[in-house]
Amino acid sequence: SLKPNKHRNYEVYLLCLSSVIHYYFHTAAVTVLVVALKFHTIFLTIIKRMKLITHNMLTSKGMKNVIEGFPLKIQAEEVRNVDIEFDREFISRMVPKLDWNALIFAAQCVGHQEDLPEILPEGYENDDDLLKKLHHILLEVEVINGCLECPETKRKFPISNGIPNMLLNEDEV
Amino acid sequence: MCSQTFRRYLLWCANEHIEFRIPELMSIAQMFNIPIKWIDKPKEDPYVILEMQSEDDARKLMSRSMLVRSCYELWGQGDTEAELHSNIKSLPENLTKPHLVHEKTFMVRVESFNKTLRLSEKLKKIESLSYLPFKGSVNLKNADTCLHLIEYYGLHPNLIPEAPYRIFLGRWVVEGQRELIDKYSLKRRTYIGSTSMDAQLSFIMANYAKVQPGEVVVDPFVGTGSILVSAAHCGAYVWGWDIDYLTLHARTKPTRHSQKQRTAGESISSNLKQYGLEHRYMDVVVMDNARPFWRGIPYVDAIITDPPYGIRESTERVGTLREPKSNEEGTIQQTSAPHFPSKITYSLSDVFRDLINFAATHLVIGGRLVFWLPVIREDYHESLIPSHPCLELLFNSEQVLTVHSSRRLITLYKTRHPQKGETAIAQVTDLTAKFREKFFQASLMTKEERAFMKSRFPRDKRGQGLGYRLTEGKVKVIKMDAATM
Repeated sequence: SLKPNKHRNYEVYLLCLSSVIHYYFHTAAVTVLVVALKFHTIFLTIIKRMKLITHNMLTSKGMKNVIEGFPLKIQAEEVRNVDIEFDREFISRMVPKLDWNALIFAAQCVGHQEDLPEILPEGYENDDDLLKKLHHILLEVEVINGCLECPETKRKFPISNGIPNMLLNEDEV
Repeated sequence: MCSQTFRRYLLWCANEHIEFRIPELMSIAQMFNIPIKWIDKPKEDPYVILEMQSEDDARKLMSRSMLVRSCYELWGQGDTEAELHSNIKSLPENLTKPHLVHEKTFMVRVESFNKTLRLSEKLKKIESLSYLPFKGSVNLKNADTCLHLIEYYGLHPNLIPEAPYRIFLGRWVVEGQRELIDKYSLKRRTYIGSTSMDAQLSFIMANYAKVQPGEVVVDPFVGTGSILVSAAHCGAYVWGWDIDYLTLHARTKPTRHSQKQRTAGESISSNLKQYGLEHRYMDVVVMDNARPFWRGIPYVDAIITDPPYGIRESTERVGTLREPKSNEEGTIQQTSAPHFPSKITYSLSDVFRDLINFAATHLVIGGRLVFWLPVIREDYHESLIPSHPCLELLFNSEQVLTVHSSRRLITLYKTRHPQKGETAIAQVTDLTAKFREKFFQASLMTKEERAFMKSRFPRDKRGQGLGYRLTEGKVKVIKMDAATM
């Protein structure tokens, strides 16, 4: 009779559909798994970068024919923000060692001018707001790729993987 | 004002890095401003007896100590059991009674160093203490008061005496930090190389440098960052630099036996991230110490480093022996692809001279420079340590490497800023040159000469040098001597 035939077609149809879905789903799962395994190390990699606090300490004064060599200009291709624990002790201790103008300059270079005051105010140790802004600029803004440029000779020092390369070539020494 | 009474403590130490034991304790005590009275500082025996003002001080001391296994409040000691018991009985009651009250649980453990005792013997010894006013109940797992009866049978596994040389009774206070050795073991570190410093020594270096939370620590020969990891654990914010581009970018050949290729996740920052210390990682830079690019202000609290010895890694600096090519267009060389500048040899003395000069200008006053100095044992003299008019020598501890060579952990601290014209003095023999010489000489030595060399520089059962020299030809019998202060 008619019913059993219908059933049979339905069955066959379902079987085909389910096997198709199973086939695609199965490979998709495997592909995702393979991709994940192969690249998980890269996903988990800390994208290496340079912090602005380091820039504040670097100068090209040691080069031939350079008088001041400070501050270096940052030409950043990639910049990103990260979250670092705020350590007020550490930031207050670092402030006297920083060159304030160089810091403003660096912040401008990476487009993070923020609202840092032109001159370092007195009593900064107690100004939590200022310390937090400093903390952000110094430690949380990172340059991933780009270069540092000597203000006098215009010599570019590349930053790759966040590691600046300050080595001079043989003929520059 | 009540007078400060001192309590006596027994520190049971690790049986290695003997020369580093006392300087490490002195450095930690200075760090926490702990007044210490040294009572007994044996030359080889694995313990130290000192007096401190409170248990708090003892805990602070142990919070950084890598070479002390455990700290005990000393209740008695003696060369014989009789002496021990009379020593204990002469203790003031207010010292022992509070720990044996009814409310506190207690337990007594017998430990023997260099001998195994049968359980029956141990029980007898515990019973010999029954004159003590034990009021509380016994808890063998987790007692409030743990008394340890320690019997010391010397250091020679083949010369075990019948009776112990010395017996101690102490109340256990706190352990040292030796668990960090396993936690930070290089076996499980993400990124290592052939020059990575092992965890124990890098923590000892951090202690020599008095690293405290919030300080700035740098390593001018950072390599794989193993020293920075320990400094970061102690709370410092760390920078590192090296002339070797490949090592900083983790593109060198892997040194692990089973590893064929470097994985993408390996780097110095991954080493810090592994232990949750990535927020203390500042930066690493490819830089030549002969031509540093750091601003000349004193911003560093401590420099902790392991410069090359000239053996495995060649010492290098950027330069060329060729005449510089004249550039017709006069354009400045742009580096698009990484250019690895060719390097000329840079004498080991220059390496140390540059390091000392950097330290003199960039350390804060009171800041410390801690570094390893390679030494030919025969030629060593204190005047050979690199120096600078602004840096004073604090510690100098030897670790023997081979019959001929050793390295010394030198600690210098900055007393004042340098004046114009003051510069470092360094005269360091390159171990590579000497090593090759001695290596080939060694094969030409006769059996008698070799035996003589060996007897001059004795080693313990593990092959580690004992760090001291015997007088010409005579063998000293190792006995329990009263320590010289």
